[in-house]
This record gives sequence, structure tokens and C-alpha cells, in this order.
Amino acid sequence: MHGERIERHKGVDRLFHWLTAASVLTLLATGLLPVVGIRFDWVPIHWITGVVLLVLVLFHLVRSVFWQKLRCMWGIAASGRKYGKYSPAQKLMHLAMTIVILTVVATGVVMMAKVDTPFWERNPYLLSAETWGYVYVLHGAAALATVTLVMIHVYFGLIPENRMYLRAMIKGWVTREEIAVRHEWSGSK
Amino acid sequence: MEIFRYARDVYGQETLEGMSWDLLPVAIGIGLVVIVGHVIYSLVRGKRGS
Repeated sequence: MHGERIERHKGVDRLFHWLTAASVLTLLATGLLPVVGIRFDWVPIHWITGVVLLVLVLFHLVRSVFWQKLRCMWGIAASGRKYGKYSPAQKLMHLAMTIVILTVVATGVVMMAKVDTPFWERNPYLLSAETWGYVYVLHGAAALATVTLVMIHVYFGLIPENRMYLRAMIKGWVTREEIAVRHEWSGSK
Repeated sequence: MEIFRYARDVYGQETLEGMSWDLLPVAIGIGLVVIVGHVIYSLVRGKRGS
């Protein structure tokens, strides 16, 4: 690949992305495979991986607020027909993922009250039966939405015209020429 | 096709249990519609450009 390389994603951010991907896929598999009839002891893997995802989400929240530019991910596109660091489609995907992942993590944390862990005994009476129903509905709806979003995200990550984004998420860099086709972005964070 | 799952508690009252898993194929189907739609869009755009 010719041209000057500019850093798009630091190593810690790439590691965060792939750990989050692995966590989400593990959670989807452990949560949904039993639904389609594949029986195994899924609950411990599911809640432990859920705690991992919670830690990753908290890490990302802190890092994005204090170490990165929040405005990269918010607001409208840059001037003319070119975008800033992220295109509107990328920002929309991030927003959708934010909503569903925060929903599934928050409801999952509440549902931890119903699991015996080394740190506490389960308490199914923490909430009323009616309220538990709403928690399960939100958790399930967010999980279903995650299935759709993951399919779309993986597809757009693999198509040839987006290859530079996939390479950037693996190796960390894009060339100045290829990013300049669609983005007005100099390589800052 | 149901949207929600219900159960009866010990008192015989209907309680909300969660989302219906009948919606899992719907979630997958929506993803496939977006993907196939983009494939078709790309093919049409490619033909117009050539």
C-alpha cells in the first residue's frame, strides 16, 4: 500500500474493539443458542462475559470522554461532500450500538441479582414480577437488535470499498490518499 | 407470531416473561434485507457507472 500512513486507531482502541466484539458474540451465542435448542450450561459463561462487557463499556466511556474527541462521533458531517473522522453511517452505527449495548448491559446488571455468584446470593425478590418482566423485555429486545446490528456491521466491515477501515481496525493505519477520498481528516484523535 | 412471552404465576395471574423468540428470525431477516438491499444498490450503481 503506497502513500503516507496516518494513524487512525491506537492499539488500545483496536484491542477494545476486538475484545468488545468477542464479548458481544459470546453473549449472543450463550444467550440465543439455548433458545434454538442447543443445550449447555450457558448462564455462568453469559454473566461472566457480561461483566467483561460492562468493564469494557466503562473503559470506553472514560477514554472517549477524557482522551478522545467526542465531537468526532457526534454532529453532522464536515463541509462539502466529505466527512470528518467518521461518516454519518459510521456515527449512526455507533449511536445504535451505544443504545442497545447500554440497554443490554444495564438490564443485565439488574438481572445479576437473580444469579448466585461468589460475591452474593441470588435475590429474585429484588423487583416485582411485573418489573422483572419489563427488564427481560428490554434485555431481549436489545439482544435482538444487537443481532441485526452485528450482521450489518460485519457486512459493511468486509465489503471491498470499506477495506481501509477494516485494515485500520487491525493494523491501526490508513494512507493519507485513501482516507482523503471520503474524509476531511488529518489523522488527529 | 407473538411479540412477548407470558407465563402464569402461582396465583394464576398472567405475567410478562420477556420478548418472544419468534422475533429472532425477524431480527435476522431485517439484517439480511439491509445486506441484500446494499448488494443490489451496489450492483445497480456499478452498472450505471460503467
